[in-house]
Amino acid sequence: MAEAAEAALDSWTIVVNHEDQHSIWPAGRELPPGWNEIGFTGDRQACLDRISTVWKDLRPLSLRS
Amino acid sequence: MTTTVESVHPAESVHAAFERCAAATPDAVAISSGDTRVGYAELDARANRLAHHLRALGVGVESPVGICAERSVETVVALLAILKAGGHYVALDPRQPRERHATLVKEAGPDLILTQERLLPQVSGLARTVVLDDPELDRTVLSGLPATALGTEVRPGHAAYVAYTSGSTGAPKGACVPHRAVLRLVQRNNFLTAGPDDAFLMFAPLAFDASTLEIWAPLLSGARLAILPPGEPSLDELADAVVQEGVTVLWLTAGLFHQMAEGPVARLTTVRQLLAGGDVLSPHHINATFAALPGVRVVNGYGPTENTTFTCCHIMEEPVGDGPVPIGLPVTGTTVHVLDERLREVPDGATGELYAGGAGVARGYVGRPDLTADRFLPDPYAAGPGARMYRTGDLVRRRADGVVEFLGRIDNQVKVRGFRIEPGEIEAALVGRPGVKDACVVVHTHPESGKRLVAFFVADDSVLPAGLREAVAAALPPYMVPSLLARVDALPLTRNGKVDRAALEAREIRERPETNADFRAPGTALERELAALWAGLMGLDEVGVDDDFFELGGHSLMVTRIVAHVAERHGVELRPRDLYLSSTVAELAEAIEGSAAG
Repeated sequence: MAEAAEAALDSWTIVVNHEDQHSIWPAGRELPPGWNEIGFTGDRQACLDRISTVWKDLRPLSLRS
Repeated sequence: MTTTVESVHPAESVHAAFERCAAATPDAVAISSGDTRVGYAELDARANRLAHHLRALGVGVESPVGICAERSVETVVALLAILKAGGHYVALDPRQPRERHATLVKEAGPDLILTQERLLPQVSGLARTVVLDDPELDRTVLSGLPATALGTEVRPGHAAYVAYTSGSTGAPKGACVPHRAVLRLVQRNNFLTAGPDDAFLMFAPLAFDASTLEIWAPLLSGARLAILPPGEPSLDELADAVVQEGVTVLWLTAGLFHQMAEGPVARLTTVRQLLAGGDVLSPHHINATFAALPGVRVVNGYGPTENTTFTCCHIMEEPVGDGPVPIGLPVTGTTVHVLDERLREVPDGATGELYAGGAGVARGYVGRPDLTADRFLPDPYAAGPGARMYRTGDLVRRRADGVVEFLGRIDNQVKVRGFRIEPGEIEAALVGRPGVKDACVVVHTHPESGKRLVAFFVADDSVLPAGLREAVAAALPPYMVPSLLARVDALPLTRNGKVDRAALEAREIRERPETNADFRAPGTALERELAALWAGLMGLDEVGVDDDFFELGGHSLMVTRIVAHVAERHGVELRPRDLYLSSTVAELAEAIEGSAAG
């Protein structure tokens, strides 16, 4: 029981906004306006590791020349 | 026709806002440093010339440019020039070793470092260098370049600077701060008034983000930036400089503010606004400041670098009561959310983590998308779509009137005998007591008795540990009452002026602490045996027979050990509550003898 509850607390989905900024959001929760899932869920660390491989340029999209 | 800074549109960039000031008041003094005076138009022209040179060296929009320089006029010229060329500055702290500069240069990627002659050895070889105080630079290069602006298009989201902070793991993290965030800090905010009659002291190291406020607040308000000469000033030197330069707005870290309030604060007669923060402020020192400087405004400024210098400010204009000093209300352009672990708002009065949204939020950590995503999260409470908020790692609660109270760092949160404890909450309770000037609570681990909370405090002699313990016990749950209260002359500080918690965690206390009783040595064999037992459990060299068990740092686990010892050695079955009733060695010895006789 307790483990299941902890796992639910550490379940996240990777999200991205219009500026190609990536972040994480509690899995299963309604997404904040302007954010979309990229289709990867996992524990916090797994999500962060994945973000390292997909988000290479931290500049907001509108400022990339 | 008169042009005022306020009447024009919000600036797109920091340097554009400065240029408007320079156009509005070209002859006003922008920088003072001893006998040197630099007017707004002159500063603008010098920065333009250097910006042309930087452009020729390859600096453009989004270029990182290193700067390793002491406080000086040419340093300020250089910062402006970097922005005017479209770049952003990466401060390399001259007090740090060359290896750290190398790490930062490798990560932030500047291929150009602006420096001064005497600091050149620290950075030469790490990137190309420009020596700002080289007379040849002026004579042979800059004098031939235009004094007019480059006209680079820089937008509010473009980077203005990268500020490195030490992460909890020790690896430095570079927060990349956009122009928008600086403008929101220094223009038309709710915690500061700045105008042509004001002078700000340039005091904080460039690598420390208080410098953002110190430098850009005056230069974007038509005020004067007064430069403190390089080096670490004594309190008296600092006070002298403040008065000589006519400084009206001064920022001090909490540690230095407390020292100043104990020292020459009364000499800061020119100061109208005194901002302090970075650690918990004590009401005692705030009130000492009001007593010494009638009419001064004291501002408790709170905020992480990642939300650009200040997130909340608490403005005080009259003496404050005992009790923790709040961090106040969000600064203009910033929203504050108090959330639980799943990013849901907690009710007013409940403890949660502070998340900061709005224009002050940094872009992220240079070269670290994973750390960025971990700390910069979607802001579901923002007005616009796609916004982010910064997770501060600070525990706070919001009062019904909107004022925010700081409770401590999540990182500092400790677990002692199963309870999750925020040292900041205990520190705030201690510092809120009359006569207590400073406090830091850490956990010590003792091989015999395990973890215990130790409070180091600075206070007037009239404050006794026993009385302090009682006061704290009345305000906090029992598990948050420190086992030991140790008086110190001053809390140790790190090089950035923050309380050095690690030093206090490592400080061993073997001396018998102050208790309500004078020291009396054990007389009987039983007293000697019990005193030795207590001292061993508590990690002390000696205890007196009239010392109170709890004042010495005793706790329930030790009670169990003592009860077991007495049962084994003397065949007397004490109950734990006997120790609460007979809480000195003398009383306990008497109780044991009484039981054995009965």
